[in-house]
Parts: sequence; structure tokens; C-alpha cells
Amino acid sequence: MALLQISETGSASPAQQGHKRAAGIDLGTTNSLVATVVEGRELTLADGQGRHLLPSVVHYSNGDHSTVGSAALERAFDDPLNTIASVKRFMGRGLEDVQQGDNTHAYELVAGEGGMPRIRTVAGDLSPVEISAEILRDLRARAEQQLGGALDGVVITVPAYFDDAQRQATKDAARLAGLQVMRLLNEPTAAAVAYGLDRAEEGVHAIYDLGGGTFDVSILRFSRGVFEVLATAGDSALGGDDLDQVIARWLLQQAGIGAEVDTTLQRRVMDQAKVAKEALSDAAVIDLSLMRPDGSRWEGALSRETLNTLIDPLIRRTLAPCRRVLRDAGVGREEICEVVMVGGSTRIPRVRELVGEFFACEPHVDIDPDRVVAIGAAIQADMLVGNKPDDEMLLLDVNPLSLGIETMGGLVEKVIPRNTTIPVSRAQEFTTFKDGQTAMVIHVLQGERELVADNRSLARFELHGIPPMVAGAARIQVSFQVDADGLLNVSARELSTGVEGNVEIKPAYGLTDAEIERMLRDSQSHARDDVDVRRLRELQVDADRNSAAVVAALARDGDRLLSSDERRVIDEALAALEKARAGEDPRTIRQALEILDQATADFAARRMDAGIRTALSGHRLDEFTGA
Amino acid sequence: MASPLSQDFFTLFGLPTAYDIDGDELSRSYRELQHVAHPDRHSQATDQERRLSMQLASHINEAYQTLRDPVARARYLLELWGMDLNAHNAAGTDMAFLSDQMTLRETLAGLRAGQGPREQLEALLVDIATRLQNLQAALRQQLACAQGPLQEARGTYDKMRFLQRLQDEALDLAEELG
Repeated sequence: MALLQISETGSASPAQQGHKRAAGIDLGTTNSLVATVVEGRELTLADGQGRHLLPSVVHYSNGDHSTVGSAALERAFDDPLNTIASVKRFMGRGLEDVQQGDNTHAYELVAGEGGMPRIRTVAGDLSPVEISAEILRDLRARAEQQLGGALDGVVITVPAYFDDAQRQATKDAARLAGLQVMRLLNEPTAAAVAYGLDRAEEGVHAIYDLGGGTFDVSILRFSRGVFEVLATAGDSALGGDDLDQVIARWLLQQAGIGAEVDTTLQRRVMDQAKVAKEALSDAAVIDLSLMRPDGSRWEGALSRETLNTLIDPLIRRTLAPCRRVLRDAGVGREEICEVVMVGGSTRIPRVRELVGEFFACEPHVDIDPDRVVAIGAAIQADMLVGNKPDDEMLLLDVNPLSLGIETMGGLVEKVIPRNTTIPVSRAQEFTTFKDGQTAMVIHVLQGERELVADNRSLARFELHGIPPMVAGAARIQVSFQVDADGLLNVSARELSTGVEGNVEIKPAYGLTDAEIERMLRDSQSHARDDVDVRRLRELQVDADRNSAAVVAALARDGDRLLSSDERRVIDEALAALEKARAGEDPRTIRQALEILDQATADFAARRMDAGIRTALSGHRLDEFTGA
Repeated sequence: MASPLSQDFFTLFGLPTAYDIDGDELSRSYRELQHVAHPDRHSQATDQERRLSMQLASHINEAYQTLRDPVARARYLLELWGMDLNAHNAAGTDMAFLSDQMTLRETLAGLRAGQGPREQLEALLVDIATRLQNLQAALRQQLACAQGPLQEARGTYDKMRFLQRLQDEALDLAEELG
């Protein structure tokens, strides 16, 4: 595998200034990709055989050996129970979620800790997070091989409609794979970035993203390098796989195969269905054949017309979120100047037809729907890692689902409505109902309905350390912060005393920190570093980043904003950090980081204020000069 | 200059403190501010700066959302100018307005029960939108400065809230009907 032509020595030492190694990863249901920006050009990275798409399939065999991608896919027929495909459909989902409904799959599911699903394989009962981590490890290796060293950061995409649990699971998988996630980016937004920078067409666009297992539709406004998501909607359990299933059922029916369908036959039929679906994008009819369990062979054909009849109900299901998203965005269909199609399933002519009809404009199909998301992620990764300090691109995304808290009587009170631009923070005040009460539980849910039972439980936040008072006297302000990744953080403070509460998170559909630690430890048998070394390394990376940032900030604004005394305090803290970083003691590094943190607090605030003032005054200047 | 976190929303965006604002200018200021504050701009910064960025960006989003929505903006301005909106409106209720609202509600209820064609729902939505626009025009006069007729403005605001709720319900119904 040839190294990319970058002007670097290709050693593992930190990259030269202006060029750190960053990548964008599309962790898809069916296929995954990794992309990067090299000398201003975005490209997806191929494996040794020149293949860019990595099938999101992992096969486990005896002896702790796993394969990812096409090689794994080949084992789907002879070893279906150990060949895990579409694991994305299990991320952040509880056992009941994946066992009910149309989710026919071949895997043996067991309940793990906290009732979360594990997939039973010869390598053990695995969490979907661990399986996704395998795919990410493969992509990481590919990128590091071709970029000539360790990655400094990645951006991983998620469906816009993914909830908090699904997003957290993705981050957990990245952590297991040893990746530093700079941002979780919504897939439609990523596509818009890849597309928008190419066309530079300002205006309001719709992104229709039908992937293997998820559906998203987003309305974005693109104006002078700013991508503003106006609204997003979707269905995180609807995708190409479901189309395959409908076709598979028809096939079985046509072949007269009844109830007894073993897992191998199931896989074969699904495979045939997928092949047929794809072929009918170009052909009007395709011949099919199927081996029945009794050994006889069925032969038949599927026409595009029949296909359309079969898949119409599912495609029409995607139109409801389309209606909803237009309303939430506050735009009419006429205002949409184009629709961008993303995801392999949008190659189906019927999908293009119905979507084009709905939006009353010709859908854009000239970008490779398989690669566009990874490319967008790579563009953002390049910017976030610091390779393009003058870049004016800004992504303003939204949270897809309303956040609420459980109140009396099993009701949900909305705290942050859906489609609020993130990051966002809302506060609510609570009080105690018993004398001397020092703890309370806040149940947070995601969804639009009024009853707890109809929404999705996110987590229970246990607040400890409330100063004991008379019942009703405490004023506990709870802050709900949704960050730029779409993840919720909760903090609490008692207002009359100023005491910060201790918040313990009990996720409804997630891994606890303890579980992740254990998974990290378990994977040590494959990894080279041990836990302590990893932790030290993480702190050193943190120290490096903070040091570099302070040095740069001092260079730009030190003279302007600091007195010589203040400057000295910061310089001393910097020196102490650099000394700690050179040592091996994590605790010393952590302490030095804390001290630098405090020493630079005012400086940071002044810089921000100055930046704001300049931005506004510059804007004012534009008005006068007409610039 | 006070910290951006403690300024009122109008000052934050460099806009005159009044109801009548230029939407384009608000959008432009918003983008300028987020170019400075947004977490994406501070991904390689110190932990301190990243925390501050998160706080500021959230605040700017909150401010933008408030000023962008005609009803939220009215509420914000009234409160900024000392009106306690939790206290009952001493000026009492406009009977003509109430009677209008009852008629509108009845129409909506009828449409929900399946009486009346789709065009009637569309007509209702247009009607509500027009009324809201008229009330906004009134607010531009009433909320031009802190010395203006704030009690009247409060009354207008109450009416807008009423209509906005009705609008949401009508839109919900429109969505249900497909």
C-alpha cells in the first residue's frame, strides 16, 4: 500500500506545523469509509485491494481472531451466527428494542449488564459497541498506514436522528478503538458540507439521507461558509435493510417457503433481495432463483414494477418526516432550491421519483451517495484538528429530539425542544420536599410525547451533596447542557449556598464507565499499551494541547491583554506543566493542568470578549463603508 | 464593556433595543458572534477556553432564538423593561378579541372533527398568520422604547401568545391530515 504523497517524513513524531493527521469516518450500517484531506484535496482511503467501502461486517472465529469487511462478509452463509452485519442497528438500543418488530436477524441475543443486548459469538457475548470498535480499528489502521503515523483526531458521523444513547455508544466504540473523537457530526450535515463547498450555492437545501438502517431528512441554509441546520427529522430504524426484508418476504412467498427458514437460508434470501434491489436500478427485470429447504429449486423474476409496489409503503413512510421537517424549519416546499440524495438506497429510481415529486424539484444525484458523508467529515476533521486556522466554515447543528424531565403523575415537561441550535443550555429550579434532604433523582427523557411511557428514557441523574435544609428551602438549579455532539451534560448547584452538586449518571441504554474500563482492559490482550500507559498518554496529549494553545494565545494577545504580573503567573504555570509533562506521574500532570486552567481563566475571558467586540465592530464598519 | 454573558440580547447583537429589528442584521450579527464563540473554533484551545466557548455559544444561541421569534422577543422586551408577566394583566381582557378567538377555536374544533374541507384549514392558517402580522405591526409601535405604552403592549403580547398556540394546533392538525 503506497503512502500518500504528502510532504512529510512519514515518521510517528508529531506532524509539522499546519499539518496534523485527521480523518473523517462514516460508520455506516452497511458500509463504512475513512477519508482525509491532503494538500487541499479530499479523498476516501482505499484498502490494499483498492476498495474504498469497508462492509460493516465483523466475523469472529475461535481463538480470539476477528476479521472485518469483505473477508468477514464471505463467512455470512457458512457461519451466520458469528458474522455480524448491520451492528449499527443495535447501538444504544435495549434488548426489547431489537427483539421486537420486523427485526429479523440471525443472531443470538442475550442480556448483558443493565439489560443491554449482547450478541453471542464464539468470541464471547459481545456488546454492539465492541463490534463497532473492530470496524473503527480497521479504518484507523488504514488511515494511519497511509498517513504515515498516529491520527491526531477524527470526526465520526452519526445519523442526525440518533438519540443520546446511540451517540454515546458511538463515542464509546471510538474510545475502545483508541480514536480521539473531535466531533460527532450528523450525516446530512456532513453531506451538505461536502456538497456545499463544491457548489457554493447559497440558499436553503434539503438533504434526504436513506442509509442501510437509518433515515434522516434535514433542511439547511448555506450562506457564506455557514451551514445552519434549520430542522432535522427522520427514523433511526428505517433504511435499505428494511427494503431488503420486504423483498425477501416476497421471495420466500413466491418460492412457497413457509415457516421453517433457518438462519443460512434467511441470509441467502436477504442477499438475493439486496442484489435484486440494486440490479433493478438499471434493469427493468431481473431473474432470480432460490434453493428450497427440500432441495428443489425455485426460479422466477422480479420486475421493477413489482419492486415499486413492494417498497412504496416504506418510501412513503419517509415522507411524513419530510413534512414535519419543513414545518419545523418554517419553510415551504417552494423555498427549497435543491434536494441532495445521500445513501446507497437513494439510487433506487422509485425513491428519486417520489422524493422529487414531494419537493417539486429534481433531486441531485451527481455526487457519489456512498462517499459524500465521509468526505464531509474529513473536511470538518481537517478544520477541527487545526490545519486550517483561517477557515471561515461554521456548522450550526440542532438537537433532533426534545429533552424533557419526568414530573408528577408520569408526565414529561419539555426542557429543550427539538431543533434547537446547539450548543444550548437551559436551567430549571428544583427544591427539596423533606427536611434535611441531600439527594434527588432527575429522570431525563427524549421524545415529543406527553407521557413518560411514550418517550425514550435517556438517563437518571442522581444529585448528591445538596446542603441539608428545611424542606422547600433549597434552590437547586439544574443545568441541562446539550453540547455540539448532541450529548447531554447535567450539572447542579444549590443557589443559596453556592454548593455544586455531585451528579451521577445512570444511563438507560448505555455502558457504565466500569463496563468500558473492563472492555478496554479486555482488549489489552490485542493492544500494545496497557491501561496505565494509555492514561498517561492521554494526559500528555491534553498537556500538549493546553500548552500549545496557551503559547499561541500569549503570542497573539499576551501583550495586549495582560499586565506583566499576570503574564508571569501564566508563564510559571506553563513551565510547571511542561516539566510535569516530561515526567511519568499522571497526578502531577493533572495538578499542573488544573493550575494552568485557573491561571488562564481571566485571560480566556478577556480574549473572548475582545473577539466578540471586534466581530461586532467589524460588522458595523462594513455598514459604513458598504463593504 | 460588560461581559457578553451579562449584556441584554439586543446589545449583544449590536441592535437598537426596540421591538422593530432588522432580521437580516440579526442573522448577520449572530453568525459573526458564533464565528468567534462556537466550540468548533476552539477545538485546539485550552480546557478553560473550551468551557467558556460552550457557555458563550449556548448563550448566543439562546439570545438568537429569543429575538428571532416575534412572540419571544416581545416577552423578552417587556420583561427587560420591568413588566412582570406573571402578574395578572390589570388592564383586563379585550372582549372582542376573546369572542374572535372562540370563533376561531370552534372552526378548528370543527375541522378536527372532520367537518369542513381541507381548504378551510388552509384558510384558517392564513387568517391566523395575518392576525399575527397585524399584532406584530402594532408591537413595533408600542414597543419602540421603554417609555412607550407598555400596558397596551402587554395586551398585544397576550393576544399573540393565544394566536400562536392556536396556530400550533392548526399546524398539528394539518400534519395529521397529511
